[in-house]
Amino acid sequence: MSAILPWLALALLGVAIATAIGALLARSLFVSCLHVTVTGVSVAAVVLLLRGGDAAVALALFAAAWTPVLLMAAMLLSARVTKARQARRFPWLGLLSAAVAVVAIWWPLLDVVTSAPLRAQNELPGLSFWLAPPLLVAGIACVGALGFGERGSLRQRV
Amino acid sequence: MKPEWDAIVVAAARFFAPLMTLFALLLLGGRVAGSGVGFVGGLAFGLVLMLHALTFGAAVARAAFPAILARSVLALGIVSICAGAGLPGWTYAAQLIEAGAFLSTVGAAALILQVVFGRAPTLQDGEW
Repeated sequence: MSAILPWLALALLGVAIATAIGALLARSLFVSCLHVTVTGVSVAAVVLLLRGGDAAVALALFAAAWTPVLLMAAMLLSARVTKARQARRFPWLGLLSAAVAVVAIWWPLLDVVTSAPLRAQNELPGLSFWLAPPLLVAGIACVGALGFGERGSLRQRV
Repeated sequence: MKPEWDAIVVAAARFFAPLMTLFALLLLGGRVAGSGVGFVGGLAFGLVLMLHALTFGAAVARAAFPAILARSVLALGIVSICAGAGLPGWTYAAQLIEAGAFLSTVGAAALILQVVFGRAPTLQDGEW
């Protein structure tokens, strides 16, 4: 039974690629969002089937639970428009970009798979100390932007 | 119970919310610190907040988890992460970072859900 799992993962990966292409070719936000959701769920299922551990759980939580709600909110807060039907053209630029991304991921994988695992080296002394203030500033900036951008919804009186 | 609440959804939410909370806390406490479980546990706990907001509405969610509390939790999480990162030799530094990641994810999730769910009803009917 466990021998089928990689093949099932491969099939789901095909589904993910197909729905990702569908998301690019969609003319409306609703269709695009649904394609993105199915892509995320398929990829999460693939990682779970390949025993991805905590990363698989995080991907499943985000793709299967959070993404549909956030995308529905994006649809609700967007105008209902549809792209005009255009003459069919082969998406050369999209395919070329995808090919570049695949090569950029595949090429280092060949070395990672064949080389022996490296022992963890000691980190640079004091690096964590100097990383902490920029992280604090970045976090506070995000909190400030979040509060500033949607101040109305967070008031006590609606 | 308010008339606009659905009885079945309310009953299901009250049944599943503690289980989802337990799942989030088990993720946080059961995994090895340093593997990013704080963020994963925060996402799982955020689902509880999402279920609560979807079932009972944004106003009730805002009353249960006020924005000031969410911002405080977020700030405490960020400070914890920075403290843990700044004390690499401390025994519990990794645990502090994971706890900070959990708190910051929960605080951010609460704010995002309240903003998104609070904004949606302000749309005009004419736009649909």
